[in-house]
Amino acid sequence: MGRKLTLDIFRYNPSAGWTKPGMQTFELEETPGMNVFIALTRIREEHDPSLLFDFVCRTALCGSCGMLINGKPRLGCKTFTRDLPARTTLFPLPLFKLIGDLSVDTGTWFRLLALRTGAWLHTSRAFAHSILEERMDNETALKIFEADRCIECGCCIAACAKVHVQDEFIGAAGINRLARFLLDPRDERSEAQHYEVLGSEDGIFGCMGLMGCMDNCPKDLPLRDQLAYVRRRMTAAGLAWGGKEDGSRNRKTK
Amino acid sequence: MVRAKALDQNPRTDMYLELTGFTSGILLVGFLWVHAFFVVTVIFGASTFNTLSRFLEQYYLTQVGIALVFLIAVAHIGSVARRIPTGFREHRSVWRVAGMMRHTDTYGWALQVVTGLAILVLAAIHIWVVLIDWPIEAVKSARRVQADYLLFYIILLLVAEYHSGVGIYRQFVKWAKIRRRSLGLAVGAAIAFILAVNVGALWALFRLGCIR
Ligand code: SF4
Ligand code: SF4
Repeated sequence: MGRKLTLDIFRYNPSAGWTKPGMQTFELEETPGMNVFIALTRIREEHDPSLLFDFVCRTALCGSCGMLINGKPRLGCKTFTRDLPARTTLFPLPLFKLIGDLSVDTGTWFRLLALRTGAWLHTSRAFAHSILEERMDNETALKIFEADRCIECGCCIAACAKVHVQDEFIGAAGINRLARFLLDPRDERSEAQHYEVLGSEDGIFGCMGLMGCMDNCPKDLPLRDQLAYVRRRMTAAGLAWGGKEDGSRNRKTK
Repeated sequence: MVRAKALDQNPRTDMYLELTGFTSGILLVGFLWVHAFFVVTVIFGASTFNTLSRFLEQYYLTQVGIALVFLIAVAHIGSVARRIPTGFREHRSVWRVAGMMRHTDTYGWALQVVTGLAILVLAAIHIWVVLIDWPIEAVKSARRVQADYLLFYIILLLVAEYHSGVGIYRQFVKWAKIRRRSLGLAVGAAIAFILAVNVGALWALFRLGCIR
């Protein structure tokens, strides 16, 4: 027989007309290989079908099951109950819009982030499906991929004290995302254009090096190295910048 | 999350502030070390201490030093103040985030605010009492430490070393590529060393104060 697990879960469903948030306690028996996803699914099936939580891939790839597990931002699917104490508290990720119970909307946040930072490949070359893709050396490709492994789960955002006090700060996920374009030789933006997006208190100079992001990233992204890289590169860009010709805030997308 | 920024803001301001905070912090830590090595000369006797202090004063090194440190401190405060959470709600959220995750580095920074403000007050008092008792002499300092200020100096020492240790650690985390664990150990060792030097100096001053 498995352990008896006690889960204290945050409950609040504004769209169902709830007026007050609160905690609800559920008990269930632990089964071998159980993760928080399985535990929550069992609770929903056996105890309360109204419990809201997000899961899609169950393999730490979709980034939808970020939540606070005993206070730490974690992925539900990647957190096994055997690594948890007998009593566990679950909260939705803070900072993001609450949909209900453990379900939050990280999508809007990340979409706004991408829109306001221009987080896509800026190139003047038209896409032609008839010609072969450009080649890239393996080392660069691997470096870019390292940043691209981010699944936009929002754990690093929830874990960053700076985002909690300055909501325009783009956080580690944002900086890491832009680092990917700094590394990409196909991106035609100039250093000054990158600087416009990154070189401020809302970009890299807002980061205080608290490492809440890195210590809580479920994909173990090398966030500290990415932040340091962007910081050094943007400082160099800022120091070298003439300031005039790119001083306008109109980003040229070419 | 989206808010229009003033169009005329110099885009390089935040970078300069970052660099100023970094440089002034490093310089202030450097000053603390030099200061420690000057004060600790009292271990070798009051006359060594006095010779050094007289020498520094004769060439106006002390006066210039104090003025410089004051300016650097102003630059430091000016550039890091933007990071201080404003208002009760912001402070509460920083402590909450640190608390909910039980995250050492975030706690470390939250305490930076507290220790920074403490240093501001305590160092001002320290400089004031030194200045009104000019020039710096071993016996005067010893009497001060022995009479009323021992606890005061112990507290100032601890907050100053804590603040500089965490500050240096964070700057290296932000800019360099050293493993955080080794970095933490190295900074810890350096702080322990300089603490020991300072404690030795305080102890020597206290004893000197007892004799006189
Ligand atoms: S960097 Fe890590 S913690 Fe942050 S959103 Fe990406 S995968 Fe999640
Ligand atoms: S290092 Fe700290 S301040 Fe910077 S993004 Fe990560 S958690 Fe936020």
